[in-house]
Amino acid sequence: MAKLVYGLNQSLDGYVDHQKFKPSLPLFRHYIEYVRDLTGIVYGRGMYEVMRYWDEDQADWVAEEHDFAAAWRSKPKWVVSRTLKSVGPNATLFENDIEAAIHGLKAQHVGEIAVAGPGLAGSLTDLGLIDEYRLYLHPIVLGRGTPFFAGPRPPLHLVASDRITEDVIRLTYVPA
Amino acid sequence: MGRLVFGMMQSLDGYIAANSQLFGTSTSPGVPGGPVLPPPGPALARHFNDHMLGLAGMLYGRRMYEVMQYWDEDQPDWDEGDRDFAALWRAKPKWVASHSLKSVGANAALVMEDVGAFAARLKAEIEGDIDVAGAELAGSLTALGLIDEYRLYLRPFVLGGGKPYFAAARPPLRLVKSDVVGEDAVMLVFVPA
Repeated sequence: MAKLVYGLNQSLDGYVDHQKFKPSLPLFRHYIEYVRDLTGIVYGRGMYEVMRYWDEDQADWVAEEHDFAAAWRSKPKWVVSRTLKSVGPNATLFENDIEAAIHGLKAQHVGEIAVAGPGLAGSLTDLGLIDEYRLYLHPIVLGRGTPFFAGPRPPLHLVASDRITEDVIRLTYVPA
Repeated sequence: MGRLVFGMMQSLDGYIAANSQLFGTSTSPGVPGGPVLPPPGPALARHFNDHMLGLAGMLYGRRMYEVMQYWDEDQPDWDEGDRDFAALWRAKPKWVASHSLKSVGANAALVMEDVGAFAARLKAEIEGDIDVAGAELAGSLTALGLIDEYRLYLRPFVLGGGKPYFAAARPPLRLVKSDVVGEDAVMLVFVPA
């Protein structure tokens, strides 16, 4: 049985807009290790389209970017979308009955499956399918944007608080 | 030289109160009938009491002051924790920024002048930490660059909307302390970067 984990960088006021977060090199290295250890990643369309950047080498990449791309490409990806017609390498499209599809993924795999994208995470939260939330809090305040939590949810329970880099603290919660 | 400190409990999505907990009027989004931010447990309440004990005083906005004035008068249903808090609260000097109030209660002074100028003077004249109470007031003082420390007490609840701790965007902060406090809170202490 795999564990479904939703974690993203966010501001202190809870917004996740990816262009506002330039991860430091130490944080980026943390994410390389994190992706390496994953069983796979479930994407919503929007976040998958952002992440497809990593499917193709870029001339200006540093070693860490190549490392991240290699880790990311090696992982199975499941993309939830009704509008996409096709997806890239090592990715599978989920078009309908998301609940059954995610239940199936969790049942067929072990380890950790990441959920990426606040919209998809919101739907899976409502279905009670997310096992763990990881808030990577950056010391910035955006005032507006896309929230990490798409809506209200029942209480959580803190299981860990870890300083990941000098300026980022990660809070880990499970449903209470 | 004093320091202005803004600290409050909030949900994981950054709200100090759900829409259904708000008093007065509000244009912020909220979820009617949704979850609310529960009061602190006994251990977290003790933490807040200890923190208050160390304060030089509190600077209030009108609405928060009107809520807190509840503590000026003994209530028959109070327990020991309530009485302890009331004693602590009454002992602290309070300054209340308001253009509409005509008078304030015991151990409180009405601030009718420009609150930014007053807060700057208070910092110059008073030693120790002065608590800023009220998100609007904190927002005004943040915009003026007058807040020296932000204390976020994150409770494990997700409200989906309501009154935010940060009234608006602001320049980056720097994390100086993190701790698990009370039953269920994570305290994060930030200063301007």
